Amino acid sequence: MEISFILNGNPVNAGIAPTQTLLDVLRESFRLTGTKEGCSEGECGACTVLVNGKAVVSCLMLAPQAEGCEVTTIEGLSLGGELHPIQTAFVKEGAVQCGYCTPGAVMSSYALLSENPRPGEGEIRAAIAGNLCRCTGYQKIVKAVQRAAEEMDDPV
Amino acid sequence: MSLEYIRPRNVEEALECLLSRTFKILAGGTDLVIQLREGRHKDLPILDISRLSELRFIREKDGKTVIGALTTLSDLLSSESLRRTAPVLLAAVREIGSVQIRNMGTIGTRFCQIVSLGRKGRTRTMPLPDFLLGPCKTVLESCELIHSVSFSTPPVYQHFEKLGERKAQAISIASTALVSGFKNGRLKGIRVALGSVAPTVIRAKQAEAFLESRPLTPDMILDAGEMAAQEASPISDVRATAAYRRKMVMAMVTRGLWPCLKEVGESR
Repeated sequence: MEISFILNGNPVNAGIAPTQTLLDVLRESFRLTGTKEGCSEGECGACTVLVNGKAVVSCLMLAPQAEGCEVTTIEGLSLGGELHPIQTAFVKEGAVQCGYCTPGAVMSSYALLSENPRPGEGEIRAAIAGNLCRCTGYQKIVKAVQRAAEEMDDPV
Repeated sequence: MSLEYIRPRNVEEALECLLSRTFKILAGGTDLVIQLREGRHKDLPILDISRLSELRFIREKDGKTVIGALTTLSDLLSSESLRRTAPVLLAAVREIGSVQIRNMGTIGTRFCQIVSLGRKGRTRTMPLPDFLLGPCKTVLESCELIHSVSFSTPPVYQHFEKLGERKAQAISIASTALVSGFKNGRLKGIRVALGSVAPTVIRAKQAEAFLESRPLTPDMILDAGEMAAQEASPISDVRATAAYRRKMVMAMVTRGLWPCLKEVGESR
């Protein structure tokens, strides 16, 4: 079957099998491999993308469900080739080690800051509770989100 | 993997599909997509009802709240009216999965008192205990959809606690929900619900009756905790032993009841 949706701001079409997940289609049809496959069962958050502005795990969404939706992946945050302030903050705070969880953590942070530009530490921890990191732990990720919030709120 | 996917435009059309053949229904997808990946439901077509906005609503009227079956868990958390009337429900919802899962997962049959099932031309409504048959088993027939769930506004005191192996995204070892009103030094309309300690969510009815039978005392709270623990029928599994679960029911029910002592004092 054929689906159409908005991918990182651009209208796209893809021929898919109905039981392919959105994750499969993003990685295989569109070669957007920033979105990672971790556990494949919605626990780890490595495959987090935004659908109509809401963070979802793309491994648990069938591709046909994206029909007509706006999908934003990690690639959509740095379209002009320049890193998004959240990405910059992750780099500056050393919130990246192996990097596998990073795109998902950044997307969850992006969804949070879009709805709540000045979150408290508890709100940040709740927002990234579905993004498992097995390298650095969460302290640096939390700091990165705090830094991003400050910098986005107060552009230099 | 199933190769047929149908997205009906409205509930009417969905019910017609369900009459014609057997489908696997896709709502939030948080369970079904995992099952598909495991190779289950190979030969069944998928009926994607996730966009049927007719089934996504929260209405409060005359002390009764009705929630459409496709209302997401995140929708519940952002509802002003639920924040006012049923914080106990929101406390429980916050314990489910992660933000991503709550953005996708729907209320379906979780938590509520009354379930309405629709089939073409007919709706049946039943109390939740009649709907739930056991783990992952309900009375829902293949030609039916869950329409909505409903409950009367719970009394003022509301308490929820879940015990999991860690804070984030843990499947519960045991959970308790308590609601109660207060009158003349007694608990009035007390409800004690226990999760993950029986084949379905259950109410500790003996403990409830006992708690309402006379003015509340500290000893009664301890006895009620014991009673609730005996009413549970937990199993041992990878998360905890049955014996531990029973002890935790005792601990959580009594913990939920202690604040009531002060409240009943003020109701005398």
